[in-house]
Amino acid sequence: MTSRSRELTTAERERFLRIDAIFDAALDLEPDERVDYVARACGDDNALRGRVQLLLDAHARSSAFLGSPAIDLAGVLLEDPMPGSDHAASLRAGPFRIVRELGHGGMGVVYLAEREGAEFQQRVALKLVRHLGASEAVRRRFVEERRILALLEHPNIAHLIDGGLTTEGLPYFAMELVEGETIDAYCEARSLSIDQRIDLFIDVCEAVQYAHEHLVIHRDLKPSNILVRADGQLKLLDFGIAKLLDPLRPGDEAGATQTGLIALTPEYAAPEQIRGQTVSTATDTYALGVLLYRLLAGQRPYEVRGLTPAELERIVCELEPPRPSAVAPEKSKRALSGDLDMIIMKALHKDPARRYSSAAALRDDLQRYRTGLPVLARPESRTYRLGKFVRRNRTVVSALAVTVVALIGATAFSATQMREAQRQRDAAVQEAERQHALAEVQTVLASDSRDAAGKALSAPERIALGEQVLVQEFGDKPWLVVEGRQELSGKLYEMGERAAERAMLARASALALSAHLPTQFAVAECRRAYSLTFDDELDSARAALATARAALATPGASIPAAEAMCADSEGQLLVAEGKTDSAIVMLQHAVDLSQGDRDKPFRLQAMMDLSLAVRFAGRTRDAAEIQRRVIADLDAAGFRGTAVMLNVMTFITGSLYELGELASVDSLSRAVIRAQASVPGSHSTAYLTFAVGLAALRSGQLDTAQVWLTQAMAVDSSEDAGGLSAYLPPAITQLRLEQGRVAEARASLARLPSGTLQRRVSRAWFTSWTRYAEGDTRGAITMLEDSLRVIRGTADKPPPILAVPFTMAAEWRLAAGEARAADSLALLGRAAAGIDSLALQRSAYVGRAELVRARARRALGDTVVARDAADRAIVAMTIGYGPANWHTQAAKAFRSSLR
Amino acid sequence: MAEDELSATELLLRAGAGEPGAVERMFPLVYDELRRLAHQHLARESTGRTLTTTELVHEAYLKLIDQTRVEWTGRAHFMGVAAIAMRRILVDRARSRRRVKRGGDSVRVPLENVDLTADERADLVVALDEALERLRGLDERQMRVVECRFFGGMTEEQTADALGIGLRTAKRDWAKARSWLYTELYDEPIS
Repeated sequence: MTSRSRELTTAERERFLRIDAIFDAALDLEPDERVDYVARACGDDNALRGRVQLLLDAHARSSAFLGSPAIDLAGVLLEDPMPGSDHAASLRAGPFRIVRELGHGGMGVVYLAEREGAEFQQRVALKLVRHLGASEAVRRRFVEERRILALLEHPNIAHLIDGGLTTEGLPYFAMELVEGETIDAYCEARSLSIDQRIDLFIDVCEAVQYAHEHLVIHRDLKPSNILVRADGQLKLLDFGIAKLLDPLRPGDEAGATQTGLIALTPEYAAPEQIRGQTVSTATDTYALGVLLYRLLAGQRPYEVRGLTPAELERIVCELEPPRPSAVAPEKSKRALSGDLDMIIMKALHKDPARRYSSAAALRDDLQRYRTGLPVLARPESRTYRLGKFVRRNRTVVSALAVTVVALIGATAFSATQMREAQRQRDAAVQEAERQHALAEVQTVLASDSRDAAGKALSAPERIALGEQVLVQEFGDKPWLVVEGRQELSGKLYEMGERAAERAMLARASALALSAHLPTQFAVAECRRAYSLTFDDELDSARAALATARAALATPGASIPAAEAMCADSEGQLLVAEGKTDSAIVMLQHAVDLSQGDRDKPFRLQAMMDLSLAVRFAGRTRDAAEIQRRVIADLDAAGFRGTAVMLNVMTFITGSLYELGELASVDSLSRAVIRAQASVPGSHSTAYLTFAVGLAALRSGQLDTAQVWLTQAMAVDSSEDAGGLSAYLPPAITQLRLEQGRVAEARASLARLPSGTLQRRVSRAWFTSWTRYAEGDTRGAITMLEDSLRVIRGTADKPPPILAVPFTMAAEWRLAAGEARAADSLALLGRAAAGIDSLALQRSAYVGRAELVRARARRALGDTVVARDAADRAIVAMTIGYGPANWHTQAAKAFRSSLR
Repeated sequence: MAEDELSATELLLRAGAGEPGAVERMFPLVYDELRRLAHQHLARESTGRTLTTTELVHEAYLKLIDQTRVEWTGRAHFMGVAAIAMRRILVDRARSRRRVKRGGDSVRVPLENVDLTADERADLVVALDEALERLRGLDERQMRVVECRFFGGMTEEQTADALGIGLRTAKRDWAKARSWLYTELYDEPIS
């Protein structure tokens, strides 16, 4: 018996086509001409000739073959007793006996069935293909559902028990039997309060999130698929039309066409489903929104029964539904209006990219609501209304601006000191002395000291005074003075006073050297290297690092905390040198080395540094993950509301902006602005002032940004020239450009820093942007391209992030209708990202370059290369931005338009 | 769940408009109706008169489709779907018989003859079905023509309309497919 599903080879198909063509031509001839013709057409291919002749013979003999309809031949078979659903009671499926039907849908029937074992009786929900006559597509779909269920093991998802073929040859599988009510009926029957309903709904989010993490999209979330048992346990059912995302084959054909098979539930279908566009996890988020609407407001956002497809599409895709509070019963209106309205409307957003990024994000916001915290869903901020151009430009800026991160440096050294102390003398005494010394210094720092003229001392002046006290009081114990100086240098670092910080560190290392304290010496030099790297003095940084490494090579000097410090500094240096891959390895090493509890602040610093390198490599999503961890850890360590925390929060907005999580950017920025008020002296700390201004700028709050950035400029220049000189001018330029104050933008260009690759690119970018804003579009494009080419020529091993401005330049060209120029720029962008590194396949930035290239190629009519480029873009973005990210989704949408 | 299903009329209209998947969704409805009607006829007319596919399909059409909403081309489309359904109904019954009676041993192809036993008929239907699946991989249009003509009991003209092909093509494909199937079923393979 020949296999029905055997795949034909291309060769077989080609051979058939040849045979068929000759056979076809022969049939046009008179019977007596056919033999000659076939002989001529087949040449010396005897097999071919034999085959055609066979068909001609068959043609002559088969005039009666299949002459009467099939029913005449096989009608008698219909008299056999009917198998299938009609005789369900007599059906067995493997070890299960079918008891009765529970329900049926378009493709399957679900039965209550029992397995009789020796000692137990198991009741299951058994699902069968409903029709013996089900099409292959339906059967495949059914097998897919079984495969998906096998992946999922979660307390809120009905799990797979068994599967196989019935005696009829129908595929079946057995699932956990859930006896309960649908979620809406459950809520009504028990008159649950709004809070109780939300808590129940959070379980749904958990189940959906779990499925998403296993790359499964449910696509049919609705009350009849969500049952609640009498004991309150919730179970998600029916993955009958679920889709398994394949990150390596995004948007594959099978998945796309299968969507068409599905009887959508119009009430719960998202706009992209109605339109037959690519579905994503955000599609489930939408259905969750409808469900929550239904549970809290008592009705669904739209009444869609009896509509034509065109009406349905218009309503679901275009019509804004009423706020839940507007349609809810009187008693719940008040509770719904405000946060819950906003949460639901965010989940129901027409644009998938603007819904909650995941079921977990929706759950988190509901939990925030339940615990009285501000929710992230809020009226769309100004950000959304800003012109597309500004938004896209800002992405480039957020990618290029190396933001200042100031974590606590000094605390990190406590562990170092402990170890030194143990080696030298009695640890307890040492520690007591250390605490005493630091307390003394702290007193000075906190005091309201005044100078001879009665003027209050500035923070750096107080630190200088602290150092004097330190030397006076503890001059006989060099290790304590070294320690104190490091502590003080940390404070200077936090303030952005890097020149003063380095001077302090230099005094610390000089003393450590003369007192034979190699570990402390190494640590001080590493800190110095770190600070030097910040100011782009890379050669000096390298030298300091080499000295530190040499000191650590002294027998007994090496301890993990110091090694970690060196690794961190070296990692930073590698980032600045553009060696992103090596930097990531080094910084990961630093994080691994600093596991001890007391090193925690340093570990967080290392994690932030790591996140920066990861971001430069184009793995934006991973970077944001690391940064979120840092925030959570800082929060747990009691840093909430401190300058450190606010700095980190500002830092993370850069990654989030790039990922398109604008709502998070907005809420974080607002939190930063709100929180600064409670940080003592925030107005006079250049770093923090800058961070607040930057946060405001990123979220498009230009007036606020102006206040804070101007303040930062005042504080910065009044205290120290070095501090923010590399960071403030770009921010000011961006602010002026976004405000449309082009002349001022032009004036601030002169202060833009140069030096590192990123800074040079950033400078070129702002210069061109200004020119663009001045109305000289063409000049702006040419200038940008020229500077980028020059920069690229000088770069030894450029980081993937360099692809970003090239890509933007390519987009400008493409927008101007110059596809060929766009194509070559995008190609340069890709190449700039480092051909020789794995980053090529992994970087979000490369993905963006590839996508623009694909667009350019399509504009040139070259679909083949366009497809390749789009495929590469999807792979790169899936890794860099994540499969559900809007960049990735946009790439997929574009790719499917190329078919 | 059941109320979410669209009517066959609705699905037929959507299929006509080229909506992907509409045919697949309509298929079970047609399959069920045809099978039900076939059994009804058998129960009512167990003696004498033979059942024609055309009658069955027409009856199913009247039952399932709101004729005020569907154009003539829609009817042709429906017949094409019904032909596939008839094929599946008959093939499924044949397979089921073979499985139940003989545990699914290999198919022996009987010569086509009115005096065949029911078992032999089942064998022939299954063998044809398998050959048709091979033909699908080689020339799907020829395969579809056989479905329409043989399983759907449709005329050459109806076949051409249902598949949206010319009459000459429908004739030629039918001739070629029959020859090909004949060699598949009755000739020793040569290479």
